[in-house]
Amino acid sequence: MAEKDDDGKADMNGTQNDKREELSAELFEHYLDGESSVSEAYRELKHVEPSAALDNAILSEARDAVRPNNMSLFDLDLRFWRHWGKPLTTVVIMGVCLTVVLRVMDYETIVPAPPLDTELATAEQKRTRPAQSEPEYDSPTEPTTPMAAAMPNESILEEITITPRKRSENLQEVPLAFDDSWGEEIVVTARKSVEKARETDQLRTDRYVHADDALEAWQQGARPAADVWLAGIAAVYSKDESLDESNSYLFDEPDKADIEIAKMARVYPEDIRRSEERNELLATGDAQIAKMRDAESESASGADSALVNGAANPLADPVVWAAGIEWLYENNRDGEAEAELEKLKRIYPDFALN
Amino acid sequence: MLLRMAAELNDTALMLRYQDGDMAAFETLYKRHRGPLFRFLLHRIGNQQFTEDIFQEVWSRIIRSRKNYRPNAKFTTYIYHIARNCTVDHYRRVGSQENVISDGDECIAEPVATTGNPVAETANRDIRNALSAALSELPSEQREVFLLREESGLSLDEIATVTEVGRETVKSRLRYALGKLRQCLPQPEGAGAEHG
Repeated sequence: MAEKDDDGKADMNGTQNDKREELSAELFEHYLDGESSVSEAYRELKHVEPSAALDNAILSEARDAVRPNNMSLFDLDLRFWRHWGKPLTTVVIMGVCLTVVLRVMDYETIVPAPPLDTELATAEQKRTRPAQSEPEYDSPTEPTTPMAAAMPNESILEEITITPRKRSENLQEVPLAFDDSWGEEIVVTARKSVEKARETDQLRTDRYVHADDALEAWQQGARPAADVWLAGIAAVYSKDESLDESNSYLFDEPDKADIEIAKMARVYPEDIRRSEERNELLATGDAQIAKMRDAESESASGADSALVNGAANPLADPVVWAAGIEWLYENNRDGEAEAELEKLKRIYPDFALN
Repeated sequence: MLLRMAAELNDTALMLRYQDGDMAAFETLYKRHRGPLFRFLLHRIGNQQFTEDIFQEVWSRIIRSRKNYRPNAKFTTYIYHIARNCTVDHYRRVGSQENVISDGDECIAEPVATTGNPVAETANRDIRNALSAALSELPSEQREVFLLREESGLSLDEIATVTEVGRETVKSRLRYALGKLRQCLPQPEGAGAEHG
């Protein structure tokens, strides 16, 4: 009996606990929904708030923190980059990509030059070759200039292919070569020497220039194209017998061709870089020019001599130029030849073509 | 719920505007949270002077760290998390929590208004005093959870985030707190047995 009573009491207590748990859970849900006597009682407690002094202190601190004259450089940077960081990054990335694409496209348009070793070897072979007749020039199917004969026809074309952009770059580099102090110096010296030569009746006006007009025309673009200039130099080097006797002064002074190489290096550095024998020729040409310029500084007669001989003159030698024009004609590039001729006439109005 | 979300969005927008130097946005934000935060701290700490110090420290931290604020969580969660950290720091400085919560009723035991009925006023005052006393006698964790729920309106999950415990722990603490607080209130007829 007692055992039964104990069991019955235990059952009753368990039921009460279960009911209490259910009611507690229900009240808790009500509390979470905001329907609780505890919450209501809590809200009726005094609603204390911070003092006005505390409010002012905090607001003052907040105001000072964002006051413009108190903003650090880091703050400004942060704001700047927050607003402009992404757009600027996008622009920079697009610019880099565009540059890369343009560079790749640009390089694709420039035909690669032949290997330097082959180039130099060919040039050395040409330079050491004894003077001999070159019957290949007479063949209508073969290149008619010595340079063309020394190389395959395609290699010449490759060598002188210049994109418009490259050409414009070279034109931009021209003033650095001679338009500045050197060019002005040449003009002054040339004017003196021409006047002096006229007085002494020594000036051959068919070959030398009216300095001011010629330099002005040269600066405006009246200069031989790179391929024409190179072909002319090559013709001079080969002692081309097609040149008449009036041009033989070049053969008497083989350094003239080197000087022309040096001149061209200043006007078309990229093209001359790819040309044959560049190192030796440039060294020789520069040495020649330095020698002549020393002579200029030493005596007036030396300066006159330098100018009359064309060593210190930045302009292309008319004979070389004319040889290049002839090369154009021989390669059926009459239009270009006519244009070159026009330019030649602007620089050397009295020069007589054969 | 939608209203709360809109309010939190506004809190976030206000904080971002304050990041950009908009002082008016901060003032709005401050007015919105100053009362609940102060009461949370006051009931949590129980000392007016300490409460004011910590209250100012909480807002100073918000001001100083405005550049680092990212709207990844609700602003309310953010600010009460800072408040809790400041409270923990305070306890570390002055000693255990139970030692300092001795005068918790000094600022919350006064009546709000009079009703003109002295008997009713006396009864209400007794209820408030009893509730205040019961609140101050709650274990620190239970009091913290109850105050976060009452003052900030955070959900159980958000309270769990702030207090860095599990949701069920929060729920358990809150239920215990409610049970103890309910004991000091007049019981509705027929419900006394259930509430003990």
